[in-house]
Amino acid sequence: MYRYDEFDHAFVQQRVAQFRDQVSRRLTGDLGENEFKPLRLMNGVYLQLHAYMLRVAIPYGVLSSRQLRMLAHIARTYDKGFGHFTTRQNIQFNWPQLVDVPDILDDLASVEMHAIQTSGNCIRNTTSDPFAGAAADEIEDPRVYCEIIRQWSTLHPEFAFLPRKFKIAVSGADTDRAAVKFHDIGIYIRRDEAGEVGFEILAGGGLGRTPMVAQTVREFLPKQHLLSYLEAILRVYNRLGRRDNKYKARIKILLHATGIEEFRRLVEEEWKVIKDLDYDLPEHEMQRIQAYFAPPPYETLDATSRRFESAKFSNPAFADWAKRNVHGHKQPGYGIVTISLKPIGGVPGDASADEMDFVADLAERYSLGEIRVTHRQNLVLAQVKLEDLEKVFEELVDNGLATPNEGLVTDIIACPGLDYCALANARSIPVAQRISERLADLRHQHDIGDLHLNISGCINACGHHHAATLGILGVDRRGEEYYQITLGGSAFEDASVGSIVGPAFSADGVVDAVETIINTYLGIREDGETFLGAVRRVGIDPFKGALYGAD
Amino acid sequence: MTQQVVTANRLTDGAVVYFTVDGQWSIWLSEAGIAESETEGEALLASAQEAVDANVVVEPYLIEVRSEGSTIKPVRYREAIRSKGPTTHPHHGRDAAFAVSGANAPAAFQNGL
Amino acid sequence: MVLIKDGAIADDPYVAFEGAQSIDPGQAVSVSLADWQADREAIRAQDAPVALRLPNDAAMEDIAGDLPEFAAIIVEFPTFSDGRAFSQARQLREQFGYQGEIRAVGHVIRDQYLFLHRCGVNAIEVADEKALAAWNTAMNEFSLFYQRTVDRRTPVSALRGRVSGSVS
Repeated sequence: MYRYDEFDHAFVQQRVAQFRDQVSRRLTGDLGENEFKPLRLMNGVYLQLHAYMLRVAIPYGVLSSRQLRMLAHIARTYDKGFGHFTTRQNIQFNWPQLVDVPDILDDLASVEMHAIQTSGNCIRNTTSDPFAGAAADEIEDPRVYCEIIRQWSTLHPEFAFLPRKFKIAVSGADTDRAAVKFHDIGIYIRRDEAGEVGFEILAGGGLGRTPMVAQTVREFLPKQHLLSYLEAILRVYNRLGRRDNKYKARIKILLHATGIEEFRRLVEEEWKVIKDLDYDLPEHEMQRIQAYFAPPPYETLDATSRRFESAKFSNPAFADWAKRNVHGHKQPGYGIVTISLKPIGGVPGDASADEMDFVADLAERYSLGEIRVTHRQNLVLAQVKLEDLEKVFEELVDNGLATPNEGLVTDIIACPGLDYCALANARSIPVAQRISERLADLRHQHDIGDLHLNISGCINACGHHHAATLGILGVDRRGEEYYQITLGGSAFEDASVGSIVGPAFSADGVVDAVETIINTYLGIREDGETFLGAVRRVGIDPFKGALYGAD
Repeated sequence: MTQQVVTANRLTDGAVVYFTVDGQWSIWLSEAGIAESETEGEALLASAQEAVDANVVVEPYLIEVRSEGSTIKPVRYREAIRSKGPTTHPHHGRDAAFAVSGANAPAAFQNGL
Repeated sequence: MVLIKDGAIADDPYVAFEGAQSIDPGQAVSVSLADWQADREAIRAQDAPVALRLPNDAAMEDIAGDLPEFAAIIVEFPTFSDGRAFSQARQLREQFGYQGEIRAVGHVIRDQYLFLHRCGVNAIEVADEKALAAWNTAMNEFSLFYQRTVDRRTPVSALRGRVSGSVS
């Protein structure tokens, strides 16, 4: 993974010093709240319902064991002993004091981390495939380009006061595990006909009030032009994006208003002017960053492990877990392990300080000291030898982290909702907990199969509900929490926005409604048909009928 | 008649606080000063503004409450949650025996949820 | 208002243009884009320095041909969060090679000074002289930058090139 050099270290320290000064100016009143707010946001500090919240960037979801231990330390020292992993591969601390934040940032800087641009109307943390560098279906490691984008976007002077926040995702594999098409800019690594590696550039995706799937701006961009092309898109957006209404300020609205043809023309015209202005990275710098992501020293192993196979045979619990939480690796004899942060009845994405320390140790012993965070709020060990899997599993069991539910109905995404978030209209976490408890039976979950259930506590959609096969949106209806259900969304390469199934359900009724929908699916599915496949085939009417009756 | 109190977040740590009768800020809703009319509410909010200028609290606003005997309950569930702490992490709330007590809290979420 | 230019308090020579007749010959004027477009010839006839007030939604192409005529271009911040002028300033310098003064006016906060300067702004209008110290502090708050922009502060990528012995 990437390591800071002297320049990166010095830069982050300067940034901490700057924020320490801003905080002290705020506390003395030299800065009013209106002026301080955008500054604290650009350092990831929100004021939420009960306290400040600090969102720490986990660049493209990659952590070293040392970094994860520091997050555990921060959770223990400055928070209440836990952290919350988010749908943007970041971590949030729910209880830091404002006066402590500069010290927390110092701690983070000591392990090459920061909270820069984790909020505010600027370019946010670039997200990526949690299996990057290990996935069997990968053209090239996307983390190289994520790191290039991370550095370029850091305190970019032109794009710090955009109309609205701006999110970029990069994927290098056939399967899109990064929800690329729901980003302001989405980047797929592609090969052209000559075999050259470059990028397909998409723009205008997003969730929130007006969910939209990104459209292709350029089919193929040669690698060396990445940054100048991003500059061109950002500049068109900064100049033409709406600023009169925050709900219409994202790039998706601009692209929708101009149409893709005109948007493409604007971008290409801007790019023509700037592409030779020295915006792109010099070749030696591309190579320097690339070198950090060179494949680790894998052992030469057989593609299958006898130990792994026989453990699956003799240990059914292990087999269940391996079936869902272990994935193919590009290196023979290795696997990719998902550590579910979705225990039955638990809080999706939460991890205690002790759990973080444990996972850090586990990664050090079995996965080259590296951990990934997924946008589905789980953790990943991407470099585990198949022969070690049973030992890893047993340790996870001992630490309550072996829930074998990846991609199943209890692997729920949930935003913090009204339990923490100042923007929320309804709670998300308790709904997730009750659905998880209701559908806890593993055999039943396996029978249901792949189903992504996502919950947001407001229309801002941090819980990605539109992109779920079964999405739940909390709304406030005359002073009560109600929950609207959408069906048929997908965050993958076949991205789609879910359709609202009908009137919202009360907090009491929503769990029953979810069960009714699932039972309806089980009744109508054809052989091997997934929930999403069935919804796409039959539409929402059968579900509507089951939920609301014939009329 | 709608009763109101002034709430805000404390600048240094973001804690939820309420404006008391004697012009202080308390983390306990039960200590809040109650405005019995619109005019009293406006006056209460205006005097709370001093604490903004003095960099003690951030963004004070009025919320509707109902006082019953010695207890004060927020009308809206958002404020019920603010006054008690997150319902999903009761051990992090202000009251160990916490349950959402807002007037409109759905039964399904009470007692531990 | 006080003008800070190139890191020092400076006199502001421009008076607001209020019709071609009201201007003394040789008097430096600041002109809105609309007035410039309407009264261009009359203003030229005054033979005096002109500062153009550029709305932040103006298309740069509309003024590209006239740029050499302006001694200053004034970019506007209706609120500090409206960052369109960052792009305008940078385009003026990089795409159009504009060499004159670029002045930011409106609601600009201290924490934007460095960003402004990096985008090519070399003057700001502020409420009082205390801002000068803040401006000069801001210029040195960071010594490392990840982008190559107008100010030609050396980006980290080029520093690395030097360290590793290659050229950038």
